[in-house]
Amino acid sequence: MPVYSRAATNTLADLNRWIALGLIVFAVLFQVYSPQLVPVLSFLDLPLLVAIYLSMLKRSEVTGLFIGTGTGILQDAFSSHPIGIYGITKGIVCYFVTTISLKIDVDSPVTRFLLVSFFWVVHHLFYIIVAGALLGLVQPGQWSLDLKRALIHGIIGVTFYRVLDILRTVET
Amino acid sequence: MQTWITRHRNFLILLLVVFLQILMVGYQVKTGEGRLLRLWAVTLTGPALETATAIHSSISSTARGFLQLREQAERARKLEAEVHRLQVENQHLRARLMDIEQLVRFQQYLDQSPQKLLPARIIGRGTEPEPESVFIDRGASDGVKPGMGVIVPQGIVGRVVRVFPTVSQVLLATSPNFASGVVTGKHQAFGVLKGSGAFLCEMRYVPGEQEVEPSEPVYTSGFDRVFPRGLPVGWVKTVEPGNPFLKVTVELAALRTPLEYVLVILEGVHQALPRPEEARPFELSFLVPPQEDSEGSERELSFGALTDADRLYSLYQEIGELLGHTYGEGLPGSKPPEFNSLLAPGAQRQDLPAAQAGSNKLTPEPRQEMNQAGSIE
Repeated sequence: MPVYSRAATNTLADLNRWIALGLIVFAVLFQVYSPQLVPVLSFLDLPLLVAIYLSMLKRSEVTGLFIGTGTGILQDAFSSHPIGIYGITKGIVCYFVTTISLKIDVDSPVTRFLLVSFFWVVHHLFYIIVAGALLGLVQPGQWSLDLKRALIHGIIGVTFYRVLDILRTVET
Repeated sequence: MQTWITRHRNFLILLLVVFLQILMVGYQVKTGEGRLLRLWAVTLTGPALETATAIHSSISSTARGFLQLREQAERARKLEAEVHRLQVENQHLRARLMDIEQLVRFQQYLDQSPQKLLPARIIGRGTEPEPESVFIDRGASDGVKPGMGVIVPQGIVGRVVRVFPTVSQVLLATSPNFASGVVTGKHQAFGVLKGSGAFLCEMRYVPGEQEVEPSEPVYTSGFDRVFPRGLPVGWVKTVEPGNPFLKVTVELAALRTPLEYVLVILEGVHQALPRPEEARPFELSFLVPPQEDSEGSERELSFGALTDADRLYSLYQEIGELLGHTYGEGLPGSKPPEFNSLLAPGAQRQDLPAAQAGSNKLTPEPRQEMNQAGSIE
């Protein structure tokens, strides 16, 4: 089984920047288009998963911040609320993801599952706070449903990241 | 201170970026601007989304059509299978209905017929190249004897030729070895029916001067002592002049359709032939019990209702009654009645007592049973 452990080899694999950009665009478009095909996919925040993954690969928190902010702003462009809401929430989330990834091994499936589930909840919480504070949007609490969504994102994230790991090039 | 900023540089950048975005959001809320990025984002990705939607719509409609087609094909296949199954079931039910109808006819025939009949089932056919015999599931243990006639309500089938304990072999009327005495219904032409291996039999020994018409019904004459008189045989198919005998072909009525059940004549009873005007040659008829003559009836039976032996018997019986003689009595050597000096057919009976006078016309016995030896009891 191939090992992509950053701590182990330090030849870890990073994604080509164009591939990363393409991933972000694809994720945003996927979120725009996929509910047309499969309505149940409307709950899936694929841009968040991509942003977290890309942030985990970086060694700089600022890079993670800008990855999250950029993904969020692009996502805001296809939303009805002002541009910047998702930029703020995703930026904050990706900043802390990068911070954590520098300290622990984030390549194991368990870590990824916990990380994705936790930060989905954090992302959702920040969205409620920012949207409520800046836009006056009050969303009813559905914590049981949100918890289930967090776990589902964790499962999907683990699987999705295994696929994305294939795109990572090995640096010598 | 600088050290603190350096140490927390990243966090400060985070706060700065968040702050700037908050400002951006506030600006958009206040002014309603922010269209530029949306314009670029949507304009750049719009065609891709439209293309993806078009492709998806095309693929989904094709897939839907394909699935519908498959569904229709599956449905058609199931319907076809169902139709086939129903057709088979229909055929089966029709066959059963025909069997039941045949059995009902048989039962009606058994109830109405004065003959003593034994129902039997055909269980096999002879191994001849052209079927000439069949096997029935009745044998000696059921009272079947060689020489008994076998019939169905439609007409004669054949004659029992071999009897085993539980099975009998019946020679069909179509066999060249089969022969039976027959008479036509309209012109009372007597002849011998001879099988020819097919459903068309020959009626032989019909005098050349005898009148026979095509489509004339043919009945058993009772002369062969196998079949009682009056059983339907078939109808005249063709008549060709000949010398000394006509060439008459008869189409059998009973063997036109495959048979499953037959009736063995255990004890035959002569029947009256239908009147010529009543005979409907192409209609399958049941035998009906002979009508009892009412008192004083002037009904004249057709010539073919009696055999010569029957007429002779009737004549002697009448002579015996007129002379007061009882047959079988009298001591050996006693004087017999004067049969020759008394009544002759057609003679006047003016000298006879009125009570003993009878009609000029021969009246048949109401019913005469025929035993298996062929003699009349």
